[in-house]
Amino acid sequence: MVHWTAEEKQLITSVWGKVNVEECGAEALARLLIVYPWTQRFFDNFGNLSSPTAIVGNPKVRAHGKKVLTSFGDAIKNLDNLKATYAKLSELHCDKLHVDPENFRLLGDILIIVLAAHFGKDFTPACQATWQKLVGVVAHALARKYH
Amino acid sequence: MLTCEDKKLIQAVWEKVAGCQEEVGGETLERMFVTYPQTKTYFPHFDLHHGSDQIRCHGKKVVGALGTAVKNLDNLSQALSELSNLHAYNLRVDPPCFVLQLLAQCFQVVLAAHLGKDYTPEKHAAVDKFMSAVAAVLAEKYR
Repeated sequence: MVHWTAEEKQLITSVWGKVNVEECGAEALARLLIVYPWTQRFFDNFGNLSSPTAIVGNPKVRAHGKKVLTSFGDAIKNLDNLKATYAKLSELHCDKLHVDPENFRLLGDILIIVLAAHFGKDFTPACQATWQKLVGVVAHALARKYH
Repeated sequence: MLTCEDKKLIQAVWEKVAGCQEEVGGETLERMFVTYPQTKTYFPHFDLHHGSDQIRCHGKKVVGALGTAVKNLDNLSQALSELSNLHAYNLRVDPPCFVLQLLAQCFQVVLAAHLGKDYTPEKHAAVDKFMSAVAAVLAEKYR
């Protein structure tokens, strides 16, 4: 089980409290598809992904980005029980979606960069360290049911 | 491969960083040591406290080297040849691409924090490609 200090929990919830889930989610997913274009293979039915502008403006990307980050919010509410929280999603990503877990790490790193762009200096080294730990743990939980 | 567009974007980002290399470099290293404590093992001889002179100086060196790379985007191998030797034979930062990836992540976080909205997805992609290319060159001589 992952141990979270009081300070880490505080850093997570204080940042999360200021996050616009729809905006950040959309931006993180768009950047994933732009910076690592091979990830587009999971979104064949999303329509126009032909350029960064198309991706950023794509309503399906925005909607799905919001979904992904909303699920992240569930992780934050259940920091002490991530395994159970993500069990079904893990099965889904392995058995139905066939997503290489390496992509969870890529999305996590991108989310950190999006947060840094939004919060500037307020996204301190301590914030970054805590959030990198969080995205790592979420990625791990998502990969758990792979077989 | 870095396209012409990538190179323009990288240079545009670099112009914003040029005036505060020491600050950007120091912050990158500090974030790396705090976020990825295993990277401290390469600096047992450093004072790694916040604000340390050594971190600031070394950060300036690292960003300076990246600056050299930016001026030589068409010939990274040659421009970084000395550093490639250093990392392979002396420093033996291991495994090369993995650890340098941690530095790259922290560098991008610093850029994003400094540039905010100006760190567009296009610039993000170009810088990410650039850092991968640099890491690949530095790892060239490993074996």
